Order: sequence, then C-alpha cells, then structure tokens
Amino acid sequence: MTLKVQDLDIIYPVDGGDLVACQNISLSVQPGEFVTVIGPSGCGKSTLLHAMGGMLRPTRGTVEADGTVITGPDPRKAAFVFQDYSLLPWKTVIQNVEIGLIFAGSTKKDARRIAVEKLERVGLAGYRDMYPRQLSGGMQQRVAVARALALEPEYLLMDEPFGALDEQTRRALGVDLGERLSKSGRGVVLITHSLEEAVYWADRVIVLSSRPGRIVKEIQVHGDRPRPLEFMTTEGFTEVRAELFSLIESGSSQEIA
Amino acid sequence: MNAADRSHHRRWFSLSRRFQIRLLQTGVMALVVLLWAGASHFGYASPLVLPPPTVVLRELVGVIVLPSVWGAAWVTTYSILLAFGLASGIGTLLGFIFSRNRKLADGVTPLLAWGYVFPFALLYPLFILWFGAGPASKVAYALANAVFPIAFNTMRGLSSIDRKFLAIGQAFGASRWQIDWHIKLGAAWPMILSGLRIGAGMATVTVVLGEVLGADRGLGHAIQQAVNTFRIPRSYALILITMAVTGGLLWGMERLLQSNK
Repeated sequence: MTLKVQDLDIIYPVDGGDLVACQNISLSVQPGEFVTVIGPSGCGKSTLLHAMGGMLRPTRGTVEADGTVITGPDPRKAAFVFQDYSLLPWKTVIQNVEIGLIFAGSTKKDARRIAVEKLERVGLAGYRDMYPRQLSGGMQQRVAVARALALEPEYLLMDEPFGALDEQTRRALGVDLGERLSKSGRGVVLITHSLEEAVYWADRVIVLSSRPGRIVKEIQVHGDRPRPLEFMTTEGFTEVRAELFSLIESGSSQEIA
Repeated sequence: MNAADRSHHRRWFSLSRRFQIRLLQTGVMALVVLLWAGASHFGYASPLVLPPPTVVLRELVGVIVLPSVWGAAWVTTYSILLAFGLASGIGTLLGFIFSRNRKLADGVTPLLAWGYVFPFALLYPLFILWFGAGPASKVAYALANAVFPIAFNTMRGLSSIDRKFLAIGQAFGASRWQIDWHIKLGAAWPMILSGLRIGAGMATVTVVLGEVLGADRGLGHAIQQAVNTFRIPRSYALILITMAVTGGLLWGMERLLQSNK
C-alpha cells in the first residue's frame, strides 16, 4: 500500500483570522519505507501526521491509500503511536494491547493470543498483567507500539514517540524498536524534532519550514536497515545531520527575525 | 547491622506504631464512656436524659434477643439497600443520558446541583401522603436524597474525559458504544464511584431519619417509640444497635464498590 498526500492544506480558524498549519504538502510513502518528518516546533508536522492517519480532515487536498481517499482512521492501514503513550491507566498492559482488536470485533481469545505475541515482539512478555503506571516511560511506549502492531498495520504513524524520554532510554529504545520494525517490513512515518532520530530512522527525511509548514527539502539517507548504533558515527549520517542542522537553523532564525 | 535486619527493624517499628494508634483510639473511646459513667454517677446528668452505661448495657443485652428488634433491623436494612440500589441504577442511568448531550448536560446541571443540596426532609410529610407510613415512603425519601449526587457525579465524570483517551478510541476505530464502555466508563469510574459512596451514606442516614420522623416499622421507629414512652435506656440501646447495623451496611457497600474495580 502506498500512502499518498496530495496538495494538502490544513487551516484552523482561530480568533482574528486563520491559522495555516500545513501548506501545499505533497508526499508519498512506499510500502516498508521509513520516512521521518522534522521541522521547528509548531511547524504543523504533528498536524500532518494526524491528517495522514485520518484523524482530521484536510482543508484542501487529499490523503490516499492505494488510490482510495482516506476519510477516517483505519488502524489496519495506519496505526498511531502517540508521544504521551496514551495507555488507558485502568486497563492492564495486555488489555491495552488488545484494545484495537476488541474495537475491530475480534473474539477475546483471538485478541489475547495476538496481544501476547505482540508483547513478546516488543520484549515485554513478562509484564502483561501489570498496570501502565507500574512501567517506566520507555516500557509504556513499547506497549503503545505493541498496541499499534496488534492490528498488523501497513504503516505505523509515530508522533514524537520518544519525546518524553530521557536521552539514554530514547537512544536505546530507538535502536531496539528501529530494528524490530525494520524486520517486520512495515512502513513508518515518524515525527521528531531530534536531528539524530530523523537521520537514524530514515530512508528519507522530509524537512518542514516553520509555520505555515511547507516541504523545504527531501533528503535520502543511504544505509541498510536495521542499522547498528554505530551508524550514527558514519560519514553518511554526519553529513545528512549537518545539512538538516543548517536547514532547520536557518528556518528558525527566520522565524525569530 | 545489615539491610535485612534494618528492614525487619523498620517493619516491627511500623507495626508497633499502628498498635500505638489503636491504643490511643481505644483510650479516647474509654474516656468518653468514663465521662458518661461519671456524669451519671455523680448526678451531673439526669438518668432520664443520660442513663449510666451499665444500665444501657443491661438493656442492650435484654433488647438484642427480641424478635421485634430483629424485625425492625431487617426492615431498616432492606429499606437502605433498596433505596441505594434504586438510586445507583437510576442515578447512573440519568447521569449517562445527560452526559450524552452537552446542551442537555448544561441544562440539567443547576437542577442536579440544587437537588444535591435540597433538604428533602421538608417534603417528608408529602412522602408519607404519597407512599403511606410503611417502608415505601422511607425508600422514596432516601432515593430522592441519594439519586442526585450519583447522577451529578456520573454526568460530570462522563462529560469531562481527558481528550487523549478519546483520541485513542478514535485512532483505533472504536464505535460510540465501545468508546462509552471501554474508555469513558474507565476514565469516569473514580468520579462515579465517589458519587456512589456519597449516595450510600445518604441512603443510610435518610432511611433511619425517615423512620424517626414517621414510620410504622424499622429501627428509627423503635427508637422514636422508646423515647415517646420514656424508656430512655431502651432508646440508647436501640441507637447502639442502629449504629452497628448502619455501620455494617456502609462497610459492606464500601467493600462492594471497591471490589468493582
């Protein structure tokens, strides 16, 4: 399945005029491809991701999955992983992972079987009967990833999934999940404001300008996935990172001026 | 001293601390009984107002075996449970219906808040008129008291759900009913629970109060009768029995509510 965004504008009505969050955005994501979207804060990258997942209607333009216009969320096509994990605190870990399957009408038995398998996939088999509050932030985000994977989506839409974690956890979890997701063959669209993450995860980085968010540049990142941590020390990585740095720095200095 | 010793030491200390608190609480109770005994013994309190504890205790032993007292306790118990059960069902249902529509919720909020604080005791003569002097009027009166806090809290809980939980429902394709059941109910549960707790307390107090105000059965009625015929020790004994029954019921309802989640 190809995920295609065409001529997308998203405008919010606000007091005293319109707020243009995204402007004239076109892009497509190929099956199994990892695309990261980076840009200054408030550039509408999260809005773009929500539109790609059918969570909000674009003001102009379309989002298509294999030629069919997306009008609402379909977690079997593209499942979300949110920044704040958004686990339901009154449900256990396993119940949280099952929830999408239950919503989709799976039997309890099937949902349980699949959820157990996905929890194993993210390395949390032993935590199934705990409550989210008993887990660290990194573990909670693994649960959120398992919840998304339970629906066997073609794409994972990850909205700054590691944003709330400390540096060490962030890197370790990034490398681990990057490897697991690469092996699963699913496509990923990942929003981030970390240069390192944007390059490490990406087959292709999309750079957005400050508000209104427009595509400034698309950069290919070469190197087979899964990538070892040492990928961050290669010349290819450093070059792209430096290019991103200057693009984003010039973007935000414009904003200040 | 190694770590195991220390933790053992600490646990022993906390146990003894809890014991100290129990001792203190028992001491305060004993002091109250002692003051009571002293007041009657030295003639500060007329035995007509406050009979000595020994007399009340003897009366309690005599009263507790009476089938009529057991009958009264049973009437009070089922009136409370029936009132609380009805108030829980009706209150949560109303709260749920109101929460479904913002305009409706805004519209009924003052009514619910007002019903929450309205002194229904003022309407008690009317309840007797409508439902007679039997348990029905007590149940209706307690229901009126208990249903408002339950409906109000349920409505508020269900209409103030964190947006991020609702986003999960949307993103993972939940239907309206699935959002109600799996997301809203879970998120609102602490608030609904506190409404049910208040309702349980309300139902308990108001059933007994109704029986005192006017009834033909129940513990409240028995207390009222004892006072009317100047059997003061008996009225105190019945008050103690009423406290034990209502205390036990409240404890039981609390346990039931907690085990629910």
